[in-house]
Amino acid sequence: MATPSSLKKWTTPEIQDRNERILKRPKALNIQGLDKSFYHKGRAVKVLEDIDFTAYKREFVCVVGPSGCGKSTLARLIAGLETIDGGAILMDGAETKGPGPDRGMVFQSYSLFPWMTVKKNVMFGLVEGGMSKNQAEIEALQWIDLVGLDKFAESYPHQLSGGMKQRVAIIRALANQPKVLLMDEPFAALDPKNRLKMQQYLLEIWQNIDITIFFITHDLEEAIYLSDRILVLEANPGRVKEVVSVPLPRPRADDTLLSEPFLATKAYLESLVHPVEEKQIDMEDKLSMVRMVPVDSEVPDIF
Amino acid sequence: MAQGMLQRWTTPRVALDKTSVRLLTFASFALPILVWCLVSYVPHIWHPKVEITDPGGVSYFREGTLVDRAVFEIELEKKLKADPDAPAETLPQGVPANPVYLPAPHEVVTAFYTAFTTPPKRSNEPWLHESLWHSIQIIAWGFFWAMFFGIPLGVMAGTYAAASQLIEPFTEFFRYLPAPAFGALAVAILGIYDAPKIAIIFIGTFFQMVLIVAATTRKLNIALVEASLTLGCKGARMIRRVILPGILPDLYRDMRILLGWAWTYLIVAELIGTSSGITWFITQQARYKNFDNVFAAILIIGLIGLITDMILARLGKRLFPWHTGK
Repeated sequence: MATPSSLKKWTTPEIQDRNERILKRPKALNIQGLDKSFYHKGRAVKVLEDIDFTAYKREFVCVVGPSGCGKSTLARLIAGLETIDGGAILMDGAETKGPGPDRGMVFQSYSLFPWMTVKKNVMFGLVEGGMSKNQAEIEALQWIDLVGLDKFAESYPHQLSGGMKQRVAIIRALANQPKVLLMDEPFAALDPKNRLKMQQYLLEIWQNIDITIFFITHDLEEAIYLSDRILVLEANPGRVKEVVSVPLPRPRADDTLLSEPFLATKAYLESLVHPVEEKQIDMEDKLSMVRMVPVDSEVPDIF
Repeated sequence: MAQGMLQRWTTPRVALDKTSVRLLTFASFALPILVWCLVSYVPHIWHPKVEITDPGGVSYFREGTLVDRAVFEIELEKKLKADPDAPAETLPQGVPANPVYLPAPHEVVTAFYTAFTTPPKRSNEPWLHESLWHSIQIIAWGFFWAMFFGIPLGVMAGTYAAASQLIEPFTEFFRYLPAPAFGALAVAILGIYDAPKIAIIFIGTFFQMVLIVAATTRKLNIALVEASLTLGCKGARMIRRVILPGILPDLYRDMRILLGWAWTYLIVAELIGTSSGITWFITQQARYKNFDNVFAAILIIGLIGLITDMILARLGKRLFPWHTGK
């Protein structure tokens, strides 16, 4: 897990020190030699192969990789929504068996219960955990207040915007006080402005509570902006390519998205996720398509 | 305006404006009624019979009877041949008429009222409203038992693959067995009164219900089930707190559709054992050639079905405010 040379010069002693301290924290989530195959028409297709990774307490980890690298499957395996073929997933040193409230999950599709009001949605996990209705209601309202949705406590999900729905989904998972929060491309359906706002929200919440976040995304900027470390997977089969420590100070500066270390990290990740050869093949496909399309002679040249 | 409306009518899957909805709903009923009126009131569109107004010496003609138009013309010709100068008053006379089994709209409308006020032929026979009430009870019980067993089995089959594999193959086979075929068996086992009729309604709806409910349950967004799993909910609690409320609006719609099926089995069911209910009324009236009453009774069944469905649809919108689809 050495810092790659192109990022070394941005890793100041303070950042280096913080990264090292993270690795000395107790382990929150420990993935050991994880294998997973899916069966398609009788043939096994290997999705994940020999994944080893450890997330430490209160760490923010993002997972990136080309499409088909099994990053969503990884989150679903940790959540217990898929069965493990080989290897193990340990939470606080104990092997996980099936889904449980210690691993909360936020989905891209929000998956709020449409027949429940916002308040009832947030109360759901609390009541399932054995809390009394009254106590659950008090806690739920506090969470709703925290994300500024107090006016919508009695609204149904279909009356909320995408960003608001995702905030409810996040606090519904957090109210349950999981040790790890799994997020499977939670902001992919939001417009860029809302997405940035939600990212800031999430960092704010994460800083203030005892939670480890395991965040799946295909947006490299999002991964750099949010995480302490980035787990880069490669596809076919999904394997760990590299784990990158983000050379940016916390809390993130307002102009961090345009700072040099940010852009350097992005370029580096880009080279890991989309190797150069792949791009050329893409371009050739497109060029041959262009030749098939007649050009409107009224506008002979767009340049 | 009119053109815009027409464009909207011919564009696939575009919602209609309010005027169009009203207009088309009205036309949907008005057009068949218009056809019926034309056939009934405009002579020579159909009118294959002649209603005799004056027998004119033909031995088997009676005033008020219906004869085929061809027969009437043959007799008329015979008379004219025998005495070409016979005065018009002495010849057989009649007006074009439709067969007795197609009463005109106004006759059926009157029958809507008179069918209820006509006392039964014998004192131990039921009035129309009693027959109707009896039919409704048969449907209600048959459908109740079908729901009582069908919904739990369907939900189980839709939730657990194992339950599906255990329940559905046999159900799939059984639903092809025509319910009326069990009539004789039902009578042998359950007697001749209401029980076999309820059984036929049950057989006709139960097996379909299991399969439809299972399909509806499977259509529930899997993400909701998964979300509840990660929130620590499982087993029977999940069925009660997530699956049932999640499918409830669709389940309600399924029941509305299946209730319509139950009505179609009613007529067969009521012929089993001792004929009863609305079917008894219809067969009885057909025997007396009171076809206006027959039509009235059939239309009453349709109206009861339509009105119940409309009430249930309204109620559904109230009950499931979060449900955006139909």
